[in-house]
Amino acid sequence: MNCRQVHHCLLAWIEGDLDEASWLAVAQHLDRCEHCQKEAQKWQQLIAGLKAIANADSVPPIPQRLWQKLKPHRKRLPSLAAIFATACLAFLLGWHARSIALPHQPLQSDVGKAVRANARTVREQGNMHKGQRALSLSAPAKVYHQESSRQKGEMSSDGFSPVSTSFRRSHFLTLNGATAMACGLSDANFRTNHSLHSSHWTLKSEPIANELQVSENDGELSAEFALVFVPIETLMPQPQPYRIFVQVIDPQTQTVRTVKVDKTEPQHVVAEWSEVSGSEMDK
Amino acid sequence: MDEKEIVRRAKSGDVAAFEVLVRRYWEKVYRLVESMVGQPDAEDVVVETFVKAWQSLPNFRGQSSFGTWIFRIAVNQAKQWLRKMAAVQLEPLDAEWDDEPIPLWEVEAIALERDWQRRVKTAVQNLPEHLRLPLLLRFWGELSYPEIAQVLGIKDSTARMRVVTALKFLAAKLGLTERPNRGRKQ
Repeated sequence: MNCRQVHHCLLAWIEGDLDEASWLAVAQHLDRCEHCQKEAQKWQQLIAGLKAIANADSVPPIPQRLWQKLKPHRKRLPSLAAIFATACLAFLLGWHARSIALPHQPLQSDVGKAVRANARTVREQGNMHKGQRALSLSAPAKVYHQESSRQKGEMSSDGFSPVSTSFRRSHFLTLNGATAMACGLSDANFRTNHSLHSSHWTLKSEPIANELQVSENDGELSAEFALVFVPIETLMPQPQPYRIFVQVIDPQTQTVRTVKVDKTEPQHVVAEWSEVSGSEMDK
Repeated sequence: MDEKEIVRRAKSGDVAAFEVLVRRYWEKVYRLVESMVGQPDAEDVVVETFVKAWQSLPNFRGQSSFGTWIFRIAVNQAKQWLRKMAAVQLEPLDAEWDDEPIPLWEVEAIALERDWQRRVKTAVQNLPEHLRLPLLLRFWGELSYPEIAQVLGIKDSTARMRVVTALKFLAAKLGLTERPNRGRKQ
């Protein structure tokens, strides 16, 4: 080890931070090099002086006021943001739980009202075939048509007739033992005839009706049996995570079943409830 | 008792456990703070350091030792105090010896010793901060180089080099060796 190397690790040598081999090498060099030995002595003197000075001053006892300032930790209050987020979450969970826990509560959805209103309109118009229980879904159909026409640039003469309304069979839903079909609006590939027949539709198992005939009369869709699922997502301005179908299960009492389905899992019924029109319930 | 266990208890609000930590570190922290801010205000700064540590203890993650953590708080508190007071000079350096009776036969030796200590203290205080803090943490706080590195947020090797450089500056200032060349801040 030469003088340069010794100078480089002199502090570590004095502080005892060197490994045994290095420490011995430095010690051997200092033993034979007077210059480095003097240098080491100066450093030792300086470090010893520093340590002595550091420990020279008396340290006062711990003042009593310090103990008085050490109060038990207070549990930190949650921030406003956390409170707000918790409240929002609780509200959403509560809302969701309500829709599941109260499936038979007669919720008056807008779609249910629209369907009932139109059923009443058709009955009043008296354009049902004999023996048939017809139900018009003119309001949703018109809405579909409006949506369609806007997208396709088409517009019927009255602007509402469902001349370009198109449906497609999307998937089956199992609802309370009955398999029913969900109809979804298609705006591109599934434009069909104005008149829809049962041959286009397949109902499995024991639906309320084993045959479904949908026809167009005077610009309005009529169903022979009151089994129509209306996807109302097009009624809603914002994309919804759920698809909601309205099923008219009894046109006489105008009972409507509303089914809420998770879009990502079409077989998963999120919520289901039935509605009876207010007038029928009053009777 | 293991320090981690004491810290864990203190974190959960056990004042008695924190008192153990205060008693364990009071002296070292006091010496460090006193070397930075001077004797008259050191006690206040140290009290504030421990109060701050107590309040911040629930946020202490234990990634470093409690000792390193408390020294970091102490350094920050001292710096804050210095900024507030807008004064970086120590109290009159020899004030604390004025009241002590000195035996006649020791006067010369003590005078020499005091003069030496005064010169060293002055030299330390005149060091640039990036050299002074590692030196104070090393000899006043008695921290290892890895601990100094943690307190100051620098590398171990940098901490060691700064202490060496500080010693060289001191040695030059005190006439022990030639003054080293002024290097760039490491």
